[in-house]
Amino acid sequence: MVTKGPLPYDAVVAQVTRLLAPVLGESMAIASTNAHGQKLAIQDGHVTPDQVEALVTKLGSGLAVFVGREKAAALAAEMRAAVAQLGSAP
Amino acid sequence: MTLRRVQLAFMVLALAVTVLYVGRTIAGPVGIYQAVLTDGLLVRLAGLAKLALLILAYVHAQATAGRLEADNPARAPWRLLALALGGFALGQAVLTSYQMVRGLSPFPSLGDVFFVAGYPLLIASFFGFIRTYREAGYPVGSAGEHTLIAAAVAVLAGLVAVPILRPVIAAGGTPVQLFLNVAYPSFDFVLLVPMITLVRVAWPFRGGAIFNAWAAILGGVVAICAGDLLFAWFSMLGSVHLDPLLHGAYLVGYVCFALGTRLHRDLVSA
Repeated sequence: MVTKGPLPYDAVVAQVTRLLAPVLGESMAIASTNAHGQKLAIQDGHVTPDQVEALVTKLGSGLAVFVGREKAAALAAEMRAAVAQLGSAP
Repeated sequence: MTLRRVQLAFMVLALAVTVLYVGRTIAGPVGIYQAVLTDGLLVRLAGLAKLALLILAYVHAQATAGRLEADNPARAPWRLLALALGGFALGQAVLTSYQMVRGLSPFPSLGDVFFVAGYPLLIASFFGFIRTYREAGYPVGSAGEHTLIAAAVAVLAGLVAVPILRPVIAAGGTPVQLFLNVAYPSFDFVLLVPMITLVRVAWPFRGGAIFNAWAAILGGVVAICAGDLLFAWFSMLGSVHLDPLLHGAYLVGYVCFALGTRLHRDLVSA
């Protein structure tokens, strides 16, 4: 679980794509994050911790064909940490 | 000097030899190209550079495959790509041995067996990459779209291949020469089908490390296709004075292969 409460979806996307862009390119990072995000049934522009976890897991598994599972898992961990910081921000 | 810098030095050296070849094509065998940079010297330098680059590309592709998990769907295409590059490296090793001893590039040679064997592996690996990347869930086009692109490229390649290959066939030569002069361009036309589809797959990744690696690899394919087509035409026309252009095209292609596979290897490195 990356956070305890709901987070703004746009902020989550910004954090995740910032980390994915060097590998996937910015437009693909945004497109793939949004493609997975659309399947999460987001309401009121906020995502629950479970939805964030599902999003990060999906993005990580897709990355594995390019970078291998080990590095994909490391990137997913970075994404979780970055999103967790959003939750702890005042 | 780190290993990475040695590799970079090889690539720069190869590109420098390419520039020398372009100069040789424009100037002809005069001046410095008559006194110092003779055809024999250039062909030896180019042969060694090509061999080193192909070995590097093979090693990087093999290392990438090795770092991917056994059940990772991208592993098999990387193995096939490594085998293809290994085939090219073996072919070049044979060719370079002739070049080092005699300062000439015999055609055909035993090296052609390995070069010809490499193409089906390269084509199969590209089809494997397309399927793997599409199924990874990224918006890189549907199977239907890829089939449509492949069909369109196949039709166009077929239309272009006929007028290009007809005079090559008509020019004759020994059966082996004729076979190879038709086989290389034919493989290239087939290779264009997955290559263009892979461009479609890679294009949305522009700006990222994945795109940089694939742009280099696919750029290498374009260069070797150009080299093969020029080779068939120049052989047919007997235009030996244009050989430097061929060497230049292959050098650029192999630099791209070495660079692209290196960049992708960096992606999978922890």
